[in-house]
Parts: sequence; C-alpha cells; structure tokens
Amino acid sequence: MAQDEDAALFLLVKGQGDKAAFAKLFDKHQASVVRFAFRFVGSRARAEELAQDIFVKLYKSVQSYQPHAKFKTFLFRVATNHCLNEVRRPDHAREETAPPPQLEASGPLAEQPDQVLEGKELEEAVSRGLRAMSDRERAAFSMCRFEGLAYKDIALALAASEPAVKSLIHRATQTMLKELEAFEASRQPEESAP
Amino acid sequence: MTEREVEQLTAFIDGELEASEAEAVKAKLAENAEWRAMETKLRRALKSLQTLPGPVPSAGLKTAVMSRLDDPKPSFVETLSKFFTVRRLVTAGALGVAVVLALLWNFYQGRVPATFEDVEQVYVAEHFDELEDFEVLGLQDTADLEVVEALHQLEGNP
Repeated sequence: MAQDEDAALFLLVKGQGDKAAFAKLFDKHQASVVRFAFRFVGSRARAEELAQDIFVKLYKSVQSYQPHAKFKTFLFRVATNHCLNEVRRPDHAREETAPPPQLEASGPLAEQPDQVLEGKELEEAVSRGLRAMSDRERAAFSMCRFEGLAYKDIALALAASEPAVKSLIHRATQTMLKELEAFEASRQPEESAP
Repeated sequence: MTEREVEQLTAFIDGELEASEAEAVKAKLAENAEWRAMETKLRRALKSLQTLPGPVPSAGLKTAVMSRLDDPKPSFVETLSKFFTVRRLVTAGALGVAVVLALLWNFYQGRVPATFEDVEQVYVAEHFDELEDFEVLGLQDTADLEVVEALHQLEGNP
C-alpha cells in the first residue's frame, strides 16, 4: 500500500468516521507502533498498552490531520508524544527497573539454539544502548534505525529541525556503537575457544 | 576523526546528505583509512540491528483498540483531576510555602528596599545628638548653627 493510500484511508476516517478504513491502517502499522513503543520503554506488556493508547489517540485526533502531511509522520508524532509523556511519568522509573525484556524469537535468529542465545544477548546489549540515550535521542534513533523514517520526517515527528535530528541520531548511534562493540568484545573469547 | 566528521559519515550512510556533501565524504573515504574503518564499524553495527526480532503484537490488541474508539473524550474535570495528582499538589504546596517563608525572612531581615520615609528616619537616627542640640538651643540666627557645630568642643573646653 503506497503512502498516499494511507493518507486517503485516514481522510476517510476524518470525513466519514470510517472504522473499516481505520482498521486497515491499524493492520498495516500495528507492528511498527508496538516495536517503536517497545524500543522506547523496554517492556513488551507496557508497549502493547502504549500502542493501544496511541491508536485510540490517533483516531480521536483525526480532525487535526492535514491532507498534505504524510500519514506515517502524523502517526509517529502521536506515538512519540505519547511515549515521551509516558517516560516522564513519576512511576515510570520504578517500572524501568524490571528485568530485561523477553522476546519471542520470531525473526531469522530463531532457527538455531545458539543463534537464539546470541540474539537474546544482542537484544540485551541493544536495550542497554537505548537506555543510555536521552529520551529524544532514543525516539529519533528508533524511528530512524527500526522504522526507516527519513530525517525530515523524524524532524516533523519530534517538532525539531533537521540539523537537530542529524545530531540526535549521530549521538545515539555512537552510544549504540559503544554497546555493540562491548557486546562483540565479550563474545570473542567464546568464539575463539576450540 | 572529529565529532562533526563522524556525524557527516553517519548521515552519508543513512543517505541523508546533499549531493555535494556526499561527494566530499566519498573523497574522504577514498583517501583516508580512518574514515573507512569507521564506515565499516558503523555499517556492521547498523546491520546487526536489522537482525533483531521485534515484539509480535498480541491477537487481542486490535479488538482492544477498536472497542475503545467510541469511548467518550474525558471531561474537563477528569482531565484536571488527572493533571493535579497528589504528588504534584504536594510539590506545588511545598514550593508555595517555601516562597512565602523566603519573603517573610527577607522582610524581617530588613532586606526589603528602604522607602523614602525610611531614609528620613535613618538620617534622624544618625544625627540624633546634633538635632537634639538644635532643639535645646533653639535657632535664632545663622550664628547658632556654628555654635551647635562647635558645641562638643565647647563642652570639652569650658
């Protein structure tokens, strides 16, 4: 489905309150939103709750959608604002001390047990990297690296300038690079063992 | 490499540079081994992120969302009560009390700026002896001013 088709569907929601059109948009973007929320808060259960709130907010804020805007940018603007508010809640810090997330290994790493283990460790390293970033760095990084948004769309979602986004992504990438290098270094003795 | 150079290289890998900037980065990569090493590191790290499995949304998520679409918007009172949590009210109250106490402390410590009337009172206090002498002698003419001014000397040398 092309980007403009998303906008056309959302305009149906705006004009006629078309829930079938909204359901189609939900089907297409739910994985993306849950993944973004998960990268943001580091908890699968919380990510599902946030995704639920984000889609409800999206539906209720449909009247503020301008036809010239990209639907995905609008969606991520809603998602980013909601996630930023979530991590600023006073009780969020307590939830953050929960153990690292356990994911279903549904991707390419699920095939072999040792690959599953490596995938789990990589996931933990990535979680550490994400936690070491500022909230805005994490938002920009997640949109760029996991959702493939362009800098200009991230700038719109974050209400920031493109140079600011470029800088946020650079700093976040360096933070992640350090974590991934530490992860690689910790695995080298195992790999070189007979 | 400088921070700015690594930032440019990252944006180059992301395909976010203008054509002229991208050409400049390509030239650096062709001539500089440090740039190439950093490019390899960045590309490798970014590739490893692509292998991560994301969380799979639960089957009940769609039902939960669709059932909430017709929820009424929260009323103004509900929004206010959500904003004014006990924690926020306590914090705001504590700050208010602190401000009032600070103002009272300043007032009683005399840190409040003096008014015009205060300045006159301060002058009277500082020159109280001299003014008392004027009152005791009574001023008849300008010569009395000299008498008052020299009064202490006269008292010391009868």
